[in-house]
Parts: sequence; structure tokens; C-alpha cells
Amino acid sequence: MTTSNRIRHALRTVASALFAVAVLADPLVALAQETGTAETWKTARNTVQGDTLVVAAYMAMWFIIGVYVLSLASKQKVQDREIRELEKQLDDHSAK
Amino acid sequence: MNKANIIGAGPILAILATAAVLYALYAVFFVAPIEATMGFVQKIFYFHVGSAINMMLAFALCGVAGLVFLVTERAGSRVSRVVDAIGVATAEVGVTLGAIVLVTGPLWARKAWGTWWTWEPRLTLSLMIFLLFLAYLALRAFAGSDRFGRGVAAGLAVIGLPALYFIHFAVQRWGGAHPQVVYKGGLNVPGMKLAFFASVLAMSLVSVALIVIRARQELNNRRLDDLFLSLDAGEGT
Repeated sequence: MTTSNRIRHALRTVASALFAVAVLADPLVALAQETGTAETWKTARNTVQGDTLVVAAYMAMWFIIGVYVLSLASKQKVQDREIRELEKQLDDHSAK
Repeated sequence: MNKANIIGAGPILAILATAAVLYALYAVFFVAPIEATMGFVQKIFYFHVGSAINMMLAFALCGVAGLVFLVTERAGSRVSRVVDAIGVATAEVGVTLGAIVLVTGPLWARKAWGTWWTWEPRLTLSLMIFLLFLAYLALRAFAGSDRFGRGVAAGLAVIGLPALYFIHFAVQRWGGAHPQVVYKGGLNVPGMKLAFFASVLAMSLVSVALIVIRARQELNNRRLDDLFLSLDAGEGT
């Protein structure tokens, strides 16, 4: 057994011990196995469920990305201005 | 392509990412059919999984960048500056994607599992890794340009690498209720397959664009520090 395999094996053993009790006691595991949603997705005829949740999820997702993009844009604006000002000051200083 | 070209690629990537996102949204809502058991709420999964995959890749890249930073930092080489910028950028984008994963996941789970949250292995590990990289960003924010602080943050990112391995194999190793549709070959409906891969591609392009733009800002921060020092030295003489 190579060293990397030994490390991998040791990590798996430790983590298995940590999670075994919690997972075995979880009723959701039985629910997922019973409905089969953990292994395959099939096409429905005409069911529409959870539309509010879908709208909330997509709105939350684009809100998070939007806030991050806006923060990047404002940071960029301030940074560009600072660099321009400093370069100008440095040029003025070297001209003296 | 030289470094300047790679950095300048940010706006092009942003345009590509926007087009890919629009196509993915079309595929999710107009091409992919409604799933039989979960219903309409299953449509959350396409972007949820795309975000989760890219979150893991971003954190993995941050860990590798941290490792390279720790190796190259003492020599004070140019490489350490670049990997440091990549580290901050990937951590920030990873945390943003992690927030999306942790918000959209419970919204899906409420309908599919009947609960907002459960301490299932993949969920628990995802929350842990999210908090770890949040700590990385907090440390970086407090450390500023301090070398020691940057080094400790890089070490924290390296610690995250084994946790990523566990997240990936959590469901296979320890079970849990988390779907494994892609791994188990259950994604057979062509419309669903198209929506899934379009969403993953769209989120990958969004992630790459954001990482490139943020890394450029971090390099510019260093440039600003250098300019301040040059000006300070010039005024001192």
C-alpha cells in the first residue's frame, strides 16, 4: 500500500466513524430510498409543485451574485481612480 | 497568451458567462420536463449543483494556491504574488457560490424532504467548508498586507483540501439522503441532461469570469502599495 493510499484509507476510516451513527439514525435516508429520488429522476405528466420555492431560490441566487458583482464593480472604480491619482503624483514628483 | 491578455479576458468572459446563463435558464425552464416525484421544485437543482461543483473547484484551487504560496513566499518571488491573488479571488468566489448552495439547497429540501435542513454528511461538510473559507476571508481582511497573516490564511486554505475530498465522497461512503443522480446514471431524460450540463457550464463561466476580475483587483492592490511606497520614498529624498 502506498503512502497516499494509507493516508486516504485513514481519512476515510476516521470520517466514517464520525458520521456512521448520525447517518444510520437519519429517517431521510429511508425516505430517499423509498421514493427513489436519490438515484434517478423521471418525467412527470403535469405536476407543478413548489413554484414559490423555485422563484425564491432563483431570486436569492441572482441577488447573491448581483451583490457580489456590484461590490466588485465599485471596488474597481475606486481602485482605478486611486492608481491614476498616484501615478500622476509620482510623475509630478519625478518632473520636479 | 501572456498575463496581461489573461487579465484583460475578464470582460469577454463576463459576456460569455451572461450568454451561457441565459441559455441555461431557457433550458431549465423551457426544455427540461418536470420531474415525476419532486415536481417543479426539482428545477432548483440545476443551478444548485452547478454552483456546488464550482464552489468545490474554487476552494480546491484556493487550497492549491495556498500551498504554492507557502512554498514560494520566502523567496519573495513574483509567483507568490500571483498565487496569493488567485487564493483570495477563488476563496471569495467560492464563498459566494457556497452561499448560493446553502440558500437554494434548503429551499429544495423543504419540498423534497419536508425539512429545511438536516445534519446529513454532505450538508454538514458543505457548511463546515463554507465557514472555513469565510474564516480565511476574515483573516485576510484583518491581515491586510501582513506576510504572517497571509501565510496563516494560506495554511487555513490548505486544511480545506481534505474536507473537499470528504464532501465529494460523502454520499457514496456514508449514504445520506442527498441525490446521486449523475453518478448513478439516472439523468437519462435528454431535456434534463441538456439543462444540467448547460447550468454547470454557465456557472463555470460565471465563476471563471469573477475569479479573473477579482484576481486582477488583488494584483492592483499590490500595485497600489508599491506606488504608495515609491511616492513615500520619493518624498523622503
